[in-house]
Amino acid sequence: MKILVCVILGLAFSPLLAHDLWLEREGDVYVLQQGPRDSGHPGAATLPYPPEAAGTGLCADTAGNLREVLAEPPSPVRYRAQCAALLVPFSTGYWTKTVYGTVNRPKDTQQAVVASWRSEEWVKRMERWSEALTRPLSQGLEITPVEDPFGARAGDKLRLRLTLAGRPAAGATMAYDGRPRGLSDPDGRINIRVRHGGTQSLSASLETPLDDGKAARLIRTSVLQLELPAP
Amino acid sequence: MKALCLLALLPAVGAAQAHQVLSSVSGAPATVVTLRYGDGKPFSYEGYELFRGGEGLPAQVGRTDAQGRVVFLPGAARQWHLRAFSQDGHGVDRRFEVAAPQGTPAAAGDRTLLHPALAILGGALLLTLFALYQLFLRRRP
Repeated sequence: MKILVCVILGLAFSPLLAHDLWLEREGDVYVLQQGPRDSGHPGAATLPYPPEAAGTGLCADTAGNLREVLAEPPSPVRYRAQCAALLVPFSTGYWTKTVYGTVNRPKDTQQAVVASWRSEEWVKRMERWSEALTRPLSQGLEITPVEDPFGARAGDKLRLRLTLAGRPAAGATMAYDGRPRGLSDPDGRINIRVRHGGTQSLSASLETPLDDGKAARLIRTSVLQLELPAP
Repeated sequence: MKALCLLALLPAVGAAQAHQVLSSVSGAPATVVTLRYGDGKPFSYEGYELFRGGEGLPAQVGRTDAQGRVVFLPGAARQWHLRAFSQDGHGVDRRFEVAAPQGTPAAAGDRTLLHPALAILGGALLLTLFALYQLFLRRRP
């Protein structure tokens, strides 16, 4: 039996588009958008999501004072606030990959299970800098600059710290524009080099085992978004 | 008499096959597309649609295999469009070109194994010939 395998130009082993979350600002309103990572910036294609996935936001002023901001449905949800930094939690709950595809259900409701996980995400958009913002705003997985990031230009390094429940999160994969750049150290710190001006999208992902009978893993993802001057 | 019984079996062989789905195994030049997540894990068991050129109806639909692969026979078509998405938002939507097949064209690889009905029919014919031999030739002293 003879089977010839032709290699496809430019597609073999190419990474998939991943969904990405970001906050768009429209005056005093922030809009939580979801879309393909390769084009996940204002004006790009977006994907709908269940509005209940977006939780109550935390709005911080430059003094570090926090206030809650309710999510306004429908999708994409809106947050009416003026913040130095706005952090939004987002969870689509339990996911199970079966031999018949991936479904948004816990594994104990499915058959022929291949993998299962719970997804928890946080998106933080920073508008201004203050020393008070060197502290994490939440108990979730969160990326926090340890010094003013707004003065950085292409080629400079952003000095960041990753925390979970306010404590350093070590060993998390950090990415810049969706491309992995390294792991957070035991103190949760990592330096990421700025590649361009404009929108900066930094993300961290941390996987831990889950023992609740509904999924095998808990996948936490955090996004830090800020704007630098365009080149 | 024996020969008549054996001959009567021949149409029955065909009738028995009429409502079956028959299968054949063949070798042909295939194209393999491998889809992976950013961390290298295979994009396995997810649905896809594969379009030939600019056609609106997919040439093939299905699910990626356990290694995240889509395997298809491009034939003479070079331009293809693959759409594959999982419910959690990962996926790919990309047009691509396949390399020209080398050596044996697809049609030449379509040599099937012996069809089961033909095998039975052949066996029946051999039995018939044997019966005729027994009835008419070996009867002579």
